Amino acid sequence: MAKYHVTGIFLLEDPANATTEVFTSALLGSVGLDAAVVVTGSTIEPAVLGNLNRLMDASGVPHHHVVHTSEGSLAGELAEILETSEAAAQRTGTQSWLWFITEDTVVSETALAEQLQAVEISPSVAIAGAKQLVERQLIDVGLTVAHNGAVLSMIEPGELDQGQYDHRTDTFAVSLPGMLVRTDVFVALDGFDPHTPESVRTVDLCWRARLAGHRVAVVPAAEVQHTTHPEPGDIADRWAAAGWLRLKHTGFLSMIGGWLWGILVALARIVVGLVVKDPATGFAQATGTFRTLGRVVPLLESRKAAATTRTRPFDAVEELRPSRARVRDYRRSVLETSEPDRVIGDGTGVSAAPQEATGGHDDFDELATPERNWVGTGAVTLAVVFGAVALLGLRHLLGVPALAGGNLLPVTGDLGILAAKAASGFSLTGVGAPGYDGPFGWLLVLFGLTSNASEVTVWLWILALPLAALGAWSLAGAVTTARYVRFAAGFVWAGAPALLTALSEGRLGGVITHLVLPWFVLALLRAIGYQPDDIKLFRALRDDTTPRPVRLGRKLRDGTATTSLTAAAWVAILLTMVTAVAPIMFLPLTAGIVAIFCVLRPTIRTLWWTPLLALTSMLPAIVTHRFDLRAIFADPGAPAGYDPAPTWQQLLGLPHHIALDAGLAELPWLDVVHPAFPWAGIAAGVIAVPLVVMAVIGAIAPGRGGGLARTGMLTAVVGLAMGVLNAATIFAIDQTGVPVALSTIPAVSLTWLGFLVAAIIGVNYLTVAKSQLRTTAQHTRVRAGWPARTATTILALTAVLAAGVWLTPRMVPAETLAQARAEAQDQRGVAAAEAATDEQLDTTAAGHEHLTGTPTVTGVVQRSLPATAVDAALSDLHTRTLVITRTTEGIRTHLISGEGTMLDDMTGTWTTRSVTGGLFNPQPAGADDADNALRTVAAQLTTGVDADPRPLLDALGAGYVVLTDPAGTETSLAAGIDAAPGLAAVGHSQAGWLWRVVPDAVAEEAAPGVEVLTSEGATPPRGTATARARIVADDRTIAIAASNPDGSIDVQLPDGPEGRELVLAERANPGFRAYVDDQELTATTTDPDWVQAFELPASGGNLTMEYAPAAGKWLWWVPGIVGFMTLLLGIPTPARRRIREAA
Amino acid sequence: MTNNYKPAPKPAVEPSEPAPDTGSTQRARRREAALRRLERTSLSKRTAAVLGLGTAAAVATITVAGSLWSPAPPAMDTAARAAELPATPVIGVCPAAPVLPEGAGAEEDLDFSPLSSDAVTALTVAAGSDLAGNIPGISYFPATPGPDGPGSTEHITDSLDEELQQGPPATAADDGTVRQEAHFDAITDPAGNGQPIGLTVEPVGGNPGLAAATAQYAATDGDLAGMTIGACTPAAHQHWLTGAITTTGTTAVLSITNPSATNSTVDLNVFGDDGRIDASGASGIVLAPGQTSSILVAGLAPRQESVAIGVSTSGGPVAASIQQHRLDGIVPAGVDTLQPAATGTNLVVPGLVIPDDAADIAEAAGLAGQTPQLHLASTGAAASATISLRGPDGPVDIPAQASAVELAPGATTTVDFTGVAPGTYAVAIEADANILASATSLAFNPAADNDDATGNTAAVDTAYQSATRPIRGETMVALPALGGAESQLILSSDTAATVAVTPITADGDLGETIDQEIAANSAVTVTDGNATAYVLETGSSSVYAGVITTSDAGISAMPVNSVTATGSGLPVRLGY
Repeated sequence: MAKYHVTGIFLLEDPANATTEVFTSALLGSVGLDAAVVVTGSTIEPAVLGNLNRLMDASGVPHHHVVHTSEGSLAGELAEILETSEAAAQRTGTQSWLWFITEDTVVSETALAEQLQAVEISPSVAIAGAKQLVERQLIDVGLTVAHNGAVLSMIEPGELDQGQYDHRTDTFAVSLPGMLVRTDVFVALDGFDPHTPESVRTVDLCWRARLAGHRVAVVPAAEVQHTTHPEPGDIADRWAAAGWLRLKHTGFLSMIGGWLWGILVALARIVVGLVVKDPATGFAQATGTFRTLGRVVPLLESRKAAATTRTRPFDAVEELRPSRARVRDYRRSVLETSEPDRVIGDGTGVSAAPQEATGGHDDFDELATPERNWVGTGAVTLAVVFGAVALLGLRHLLGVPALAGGNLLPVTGDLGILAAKAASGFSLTGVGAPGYDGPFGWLLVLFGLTSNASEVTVWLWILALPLAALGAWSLAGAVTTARYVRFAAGFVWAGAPALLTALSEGRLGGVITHLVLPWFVLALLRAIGYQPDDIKLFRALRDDTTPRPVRLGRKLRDGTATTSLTAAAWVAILLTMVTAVAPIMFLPLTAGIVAIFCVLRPTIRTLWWTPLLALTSMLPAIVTHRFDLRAIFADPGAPAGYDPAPTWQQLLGLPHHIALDAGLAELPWLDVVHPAFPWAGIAAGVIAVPLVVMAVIGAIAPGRGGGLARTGMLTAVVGLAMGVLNAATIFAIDQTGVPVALSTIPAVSLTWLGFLVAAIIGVNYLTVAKSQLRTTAQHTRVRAGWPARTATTILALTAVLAAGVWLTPRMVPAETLAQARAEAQDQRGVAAAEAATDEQLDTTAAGHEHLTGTPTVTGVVQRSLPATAVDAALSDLHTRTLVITRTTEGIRTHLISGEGTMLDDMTGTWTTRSVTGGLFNPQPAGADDADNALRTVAAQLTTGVDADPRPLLDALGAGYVVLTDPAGTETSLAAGIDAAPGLAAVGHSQAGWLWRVVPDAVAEEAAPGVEVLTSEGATPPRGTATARARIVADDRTIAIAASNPDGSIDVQLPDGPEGRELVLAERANPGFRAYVDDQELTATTTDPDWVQAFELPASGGNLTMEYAPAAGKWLWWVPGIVGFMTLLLGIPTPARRRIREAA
Repeated sequence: MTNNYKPAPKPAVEPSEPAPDTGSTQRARRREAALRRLERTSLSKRTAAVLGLGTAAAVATITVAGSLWSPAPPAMDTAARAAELPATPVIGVCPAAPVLPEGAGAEEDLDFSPLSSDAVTALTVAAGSDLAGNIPGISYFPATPGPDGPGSTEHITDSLDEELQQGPPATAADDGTVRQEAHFDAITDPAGNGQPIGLTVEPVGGNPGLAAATAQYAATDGDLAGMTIGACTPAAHQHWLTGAITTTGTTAVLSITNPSATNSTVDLNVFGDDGRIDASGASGIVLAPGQTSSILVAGLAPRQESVAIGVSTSGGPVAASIQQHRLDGIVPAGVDTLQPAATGTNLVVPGLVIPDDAADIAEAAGLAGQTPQLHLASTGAAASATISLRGPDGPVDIPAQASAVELAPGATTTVDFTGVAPGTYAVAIEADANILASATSLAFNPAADNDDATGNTAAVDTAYQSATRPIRGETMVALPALGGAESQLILSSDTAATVAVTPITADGDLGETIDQEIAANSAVTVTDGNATAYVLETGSSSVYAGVITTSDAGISAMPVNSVTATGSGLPVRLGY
């Protein structure tokens, strides 16, 4: 064997822990080494080095020590020694080889001999590897690289070495331990590539050797024993390495393509990770990929270096690579063996269908109550009952195109405009105002996806009762298993006075919050893995084996409860929905989540991020409004003033103040029974007291349920506190002059929900804790005792009462009801007078109060304005309409853009501008210049002031004036407006009287109006000189610039006189930018000085204008991405399988 | 919600429990074990109850605290605010000189000519400054009978800067002193064409300028012998006129003028002795800007003792007045201008003169109704009115038949004051429904007597005074100047009040202010021979003022009304 001169290279990362055996096995094999090099890091203790030297000396091998740094090239560091080795080999006429040994491997005695024999037989083999083993388990017998760059051994985990791979010779690559490399090849290839990720440097070397025309072979007879299975390594590292290999050893174009593909793959991995509820793995994979993609310069350098030695085409290695199908098979086998806890069947080895109901779903119901009906019967009954109540009570809303009253208004029909409004930082309402409307706009966009958002609100109203009942029924299912209790919970929730009031008075936030809250709590309970006591109890009854892991979600440490990432995602989504319709509710709900997270932190890790989605969705509003909390937390929708209930009434579930000593306006006939009775108070008490009593019983229950009930009580405390806060926070003044507090309905709903959950536990407690303990062994069937049944029945009956009170006035003909009320009022008056005389008390005759809200919601048409005005508003002129309405206090006016005032226009910015001052010290805000202009022009028109209103109307962009007067009775006011110069009466329609603003006489001579500039150039006049954007010279409108639907402008501006201006009928705002041929224009204001204007050059060009909000539109990407990821997490999948990586 | 659940040990058999059935015993054991596990892993019952009651107490506490704290709704004045309106020029219309109906002969014998040889017209204009000495810009233009727009505009005073017009009211001149000035002008034959004159008074300091103007006509021969004065009244959308007569011998011509810049469509409601009259041609009268139109009242309501006309317009505001002249055969029996009257339930007509020779006049008259009279009209519902006359010392006795009157719906009536002691009075009327009123005074007019030709010696002139609205703040009164006119300013008040009266001389100098006390329900007369105009100022809101002028050419009267800023005070709320 003197043909070869072998230099052993000992690569030691941690020399201190290397066993002596590593060295002795290599040094004292059947073929000895001719030289040895110890490669260590720079920090090696001298004592260790001394020991190594002694070891080498003892075996009589000449040795060197080389310090290797991870950045340096090993070939460079070894160059001198290699030269020496080669020289020595040449002297002796032998071939010089390098033999790599790592610190945790022991080579077999004949390993080197076998390998040298192999290379002797096949001289073209430049690299010879060894079989890697842990005792008898195979690690690899040569390596291969899949098409995605992953390095694979193609050996199944735990496979024993039975010689089944001993026929292998040529292989794609080999492992480093025991790798024998020809020195000249090693030098020619410049050794290991320092740019390449460390884990695949060997593979890279082998690959380059292959491409340089050498063979790489494995010598199965040469065995290398590892002490342990090598760690598979970090997922990110593996993906980085795989990506690197793929990009390095390919053509330039393929590299470009692969690089781009890598981005897609990385994003896809994130998505997949979210979908299968293992976001950590997905993110790690993406991180790894991106790490490689980011190292462009090292990659190019590395490719360049490799290109110098490459002599064969890249596809020369193709046949050594496994087919994709093989890789897939291999991966599947790895996956199956790596999840030993996923047992098919019941774990006894019998794979047939289970004889008992012990399958993969929650089956105890079938076991415990085999003779009972289908579990969903209660839900169907609830849906039918409350569907019927809703259809009867809201039948006047069937088929209406839109709703109005309370917070409600029609919603913009065009989805594009709806989305533009949601995204834009400038509200086009009136003369415009900067401000985002937060997530509410996007909720309306969701509504708009059905192509008619207004219709969605109508159906939301009609379906609210059954939906509320179903929500509570589902929630109750997580707290109790008693079906009757679930049924009653549905009743109580749908019959909650807060919901009925919200439905009557058009409180959009209240209705949606009430519908969402049960699902929110349900998701929260699922996310923390709450299991009701009684379910656990039943389970224990069934068998004594340790509880089976529940299949949804991941196992907790104690193996009884499961947390669910899916449910946590839904917590985030539902929280965002509540935040959208009642932004202030973000505070208590987030506080609740944080509290639960803090208390359960050791076991619950899935919750911490859930408020992020809602928080980021408010980000643009927060950036825009900064410390203007009013605008941030304003209830969306039209502000509608109300009288908030005091806290003790909120405790009774009443959000709006009612005089409890009054009669019931819904049931005036009660006064026939006794006119002096405080019927309203009696009804409120009957509805609320049983629930509160049951809640208190629940709160004193022991066990896990008791804990939940106490949490429910604390929720009620928070809800009541929010009620106080909301009632004290005036955020707007509505259009009748009533201050508007934040709606108390969501807060009352929260309180009511806390009570409901506690009350369910209370019933549970009466059912389980008491009756079960007293049942003898003969009566093992779970049976609710009479207290529980009675309590449940009472709860259901209170809800029936509430719903009945709501429904009755809607079923009785209006005249009958009015008559009954009048009579009842008289009787109350008489009774009060009698009481006053009898007892000398100052009892004023209390009237009648609506316990379930004053009915105000009505169906309206989508477009309330005359069609001509709407057409002009929706054209590229964007004209507005000045609407004047006579009220009891004078007149009311507003400026309408688009097809009318829409729900989506009611942003916090817009509604809160009527109030100023501290949060708890509100003052009516003075109108700004633009508002004053609006008020002035309205007063001017209605009081017959003989001044030309056109300058102001032009400044407001108002092309039409409407006097709201459907009945046509305001003829004198209309006559006054007729008198105004510059207005041409169009006539009277359903909406009222309509006037058109006519261009002044000067412009009228040639053709009516001025020409309209569009992106295609100037177009003929359209009979008007009023529009949102005008070109003005010498105080005269000379042209109109067409606006795009989103408010931006892009038109061809012809040459014109000096000193012309682009005048926008918008409040001046620094966010407006205008350009002519990319030349930015000077922003200015014009007379009146609230109007935005730009100085135009004399030369024409492409005139563009846009609004760049303070908080850029890109801010929506943050909640958008968070929302997308949350949604992926929220897709319910049978989340049992994590992404397992092939080893 | 603790999760420290651990697998249970083997369930212990309950010793006291009998076991009749093995299967159920097994299950009972399991159940007992499960229950025990449940109890062991969670709070003890007592702790749970204490905690539960604690949470209930927390609910109670927050309820009580929240109810007690009960945030009182912050004191917010959410009433709708009045919109700021730019002060606009007040455009008034001064009545035209009386003219004979078309076709009245021009070629006849001069002695018998209905035309006057010495008819003169004049416009007196008085204006006061603000505290900085700024006198409002005043200009006038003649209206035209056709639709071709008004005549050319003449400036009486120069326009002020826009800033002075619209800015805040001045409190002092630039040098810090208060400077108050006045302006007086008398323009002879202002219209040239004999048409009504539109008078524009520009605002000062955001308020209507303090100015007044009076048109005067005087003639001593012809059918239109007599004198009439008329205050220039602001254009409006609604006017009420009463006192027109359409019986033989009386010619009443309704003159409607549109001084505004937009077209007006005028509708007339005519009320006669028996109620409302459906008059043809009384609606849809279109007036172009600057156009004036004359309508013979007899054509609307023939042969009526008393006609009331409601003028309502849509479009531009208009001014309306009625020229009325009477002939007793060929003896002139009075010429006058009927000006819009205030409507209401409590009316005051400030200015009724009952001369010493009132009985002689009535006797000499060949015409009916040549007595001091009150014309009343109901504008809608039936009304019963109580009438009193206010003299300098309070109410005076009047005949019973003149003190109370019933009005049918929409009907007019006259009340005869024959028998009332001579003097100058204000007439106060209280009614239970909206009514309108005007009073007629009479005087012999020797200048119009034409003994040479006809031997008539009993020419009479009439003076119509309509009910006025109370004056407010500063009010300017311009007195007529032609024909040796002597004017009395009559002030009447429902309650005791003081009026500061400042005369203005012909040179435009402000005279010394006198504080005129008025007792409740009385009427006082202010006479100042040197005054050509007065500035009245009162804090009371129940002072009524009128002017009665006697001259060489006859007698006439005119109401004094304050000019108020239109539209100010209209609350406007922004909706959505």
